[in-house]
Amino acid sequence: MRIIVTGASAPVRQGLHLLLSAVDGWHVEQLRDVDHRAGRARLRRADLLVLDLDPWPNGLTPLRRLALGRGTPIVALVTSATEARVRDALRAGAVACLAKERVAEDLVDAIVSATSPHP
Amino acid sequence: MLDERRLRRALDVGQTVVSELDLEVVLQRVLDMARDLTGARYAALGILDRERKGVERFLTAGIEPDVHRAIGDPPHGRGVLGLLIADPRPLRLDDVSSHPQAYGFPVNHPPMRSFLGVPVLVRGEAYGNLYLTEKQGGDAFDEGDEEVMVLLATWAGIAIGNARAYTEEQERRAELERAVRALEATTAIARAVGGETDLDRVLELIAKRARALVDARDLVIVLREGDEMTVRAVAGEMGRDLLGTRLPLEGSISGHVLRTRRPERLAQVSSVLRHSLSDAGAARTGLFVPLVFRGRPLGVLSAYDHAGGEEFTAESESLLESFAASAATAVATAQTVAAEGLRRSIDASERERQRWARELHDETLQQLAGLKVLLSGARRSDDAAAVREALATAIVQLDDGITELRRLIADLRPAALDEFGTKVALEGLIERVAETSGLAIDLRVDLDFDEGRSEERHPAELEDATYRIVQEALTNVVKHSGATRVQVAVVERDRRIEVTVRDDGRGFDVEAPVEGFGLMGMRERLELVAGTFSVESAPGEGTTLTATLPVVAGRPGGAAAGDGRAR
Ligand SMILES: Nc1ncnc2c1ncn2[C@@H]1O[C@H](COP(=O)(O)OP(=O)(O)O)[C@@H](O)[C@H]1O
Ligand SMILES: [Mg+2]
Repeated sequence: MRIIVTGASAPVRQGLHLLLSAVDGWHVEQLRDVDHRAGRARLRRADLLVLDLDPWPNGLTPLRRLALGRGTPIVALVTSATEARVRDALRAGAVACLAKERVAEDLVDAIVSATSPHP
Repeated sequence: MLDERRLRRALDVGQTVVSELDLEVVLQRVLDMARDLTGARYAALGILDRERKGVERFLTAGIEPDVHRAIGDPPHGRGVLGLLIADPRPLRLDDVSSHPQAYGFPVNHPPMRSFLGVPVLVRGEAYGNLYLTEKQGGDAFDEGDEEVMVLLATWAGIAIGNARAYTEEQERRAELERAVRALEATTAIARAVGGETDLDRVLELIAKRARALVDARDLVIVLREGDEMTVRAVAGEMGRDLLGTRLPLEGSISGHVLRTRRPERLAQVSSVLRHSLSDAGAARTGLFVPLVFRGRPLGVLSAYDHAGGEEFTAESESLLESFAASAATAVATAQTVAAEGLRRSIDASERERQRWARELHDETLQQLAGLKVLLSGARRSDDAAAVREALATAIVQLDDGITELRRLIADLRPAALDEFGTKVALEGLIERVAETSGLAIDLRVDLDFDEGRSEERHPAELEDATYRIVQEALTNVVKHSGATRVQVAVVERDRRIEVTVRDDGRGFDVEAPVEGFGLMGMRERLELVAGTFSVESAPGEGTTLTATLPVVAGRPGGAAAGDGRAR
């Protein structure tokens, strides 16, 4: 499975890369700028996107645009997973929205369930 | 005919009578003179009532007090006396009791036979009649007596007229003086209170003035606070520990005065009050006047014990009432300002708190969350090189975070300001801003305390305000101006601190309605310390911000570090 991690913060991308690469069979790439031309081609080949929405709410606009595309599932990350922010992220098109604090525990499960064929 | 001796006497008498201004003295002297000039045993003056039909007052001379008492009621002006009222012309009788109109005398009345009556006109109008009886030596009154009495009556009329005019004038003058005193007290309060908007100070001034105005031993001001009243100012001998004492609206004199909005004068201060204000226990008399502003009862001025020992007069009451009217205006104004000031400072600090919360969230919390993602990833990884790289990134992140938090904390409360004063704190600020922004910043600080010209540090609010103004101005320069050079000057002269921040940036249109919280906050901060604030700028012209802060009484400087300033 090809996963692309993207967002404004380099340390976050770096951490996500390490975390998800540890899973067998997952191929992870970092993408700094989703609007970059080369980036768009890579995005098209991805099975799933992990998008850092920070600094809130800067990530919402790219999230909306990406969600309008070919239907690649997007998992969003926020610093504070308040009800309002999670709702905003889901409305913008994310299949899940997690707090960064919970990434180590929950992100892998979230990706698995987002990419499993639904009954 | 008048002989020369009597005429001379009469003229003397006339002079003394006419020059007398006290009405009662005039009247008594006229009676004495009448007896003296005619040899009458008894003399009387009947003063007419308003309708000029009866006698309102009956003054006598020559009748002993016990005889007077025995006679009882004075005559009402019927009978022979009434004759003169109906027909005001001199009347001479040999035997008054044989006159057809005579009623006869009361039982204990001394015998009276010979009679002479003359009318007294004042400014052409009937005032009363002079009656003489019992000419000594037994004979009846003669023509000479009548002439001298007519003369005396004329002078009496003039004298009475003068005395009346004088009395009226006195009354008018007293009234005028009252009005002037009330006006003086009022303007004094206006002047003294003037721009003063600190409620406690205003109340103190009012208490002092009011006490002096009515000569009270003590004056207490209570203000209504909800359904209670609180003692807010005390002038006089009562202790200041009375301040803050609460009184119920029900069952207290002040409460009653507040409710009815009418003044009260008490000869004996009630026990209710004595319980509420224990120090007033010694007070005997009281004068209570409501403070009413636009129909709204604010409180009560309570004066205790007139300094002269007697009760408060109606005059004191009306004086204090007119004073209370302007005092109420001052109180209402100060109350509004106090409430407004409080609301603003709450607003301002609430906004500041929101800003800190936002910054803590947006900067610090985000950074920590990102760090956790990074380290969580590193823990899962088998790639030693990648882990080392992640740890290096984490350290850089931590460094940034620490710097950011330091900045935020300095922003909240610059430690240097507390410990070393304004100058050192400003130097630190300038250094930090210059470092992060690359701006060239000139700083000139010339403050009396820092330069050793004064032993006193400025109050904490003032030091705070000075620092914050410079800080906020620099924030704007960095954020909006695109300037390369900034000049900051903080100079104290003539008990005023002038802050100037001038940049050479792009400037902006100060007339444009957009004013963020930065400029607004500065304006408010300066209002709270009674300072002034102005911004001069135009697109392409750079920006100059000027603020002046009046210096109020400070606190002893001494060793600045650890001086335990309460904040
Ligand atoms: N030194 C400056 N140079 C240029 N523009 C300025 C300067 N200070 C203030 N301004 C302008 O005034 C506006 C209001 O400033 P402020 O009240 O501090 O709000 P804010 O900084 O949050 O925008 C700014 O948005 C900016 O357009
Ligand atoms: Mg600003």
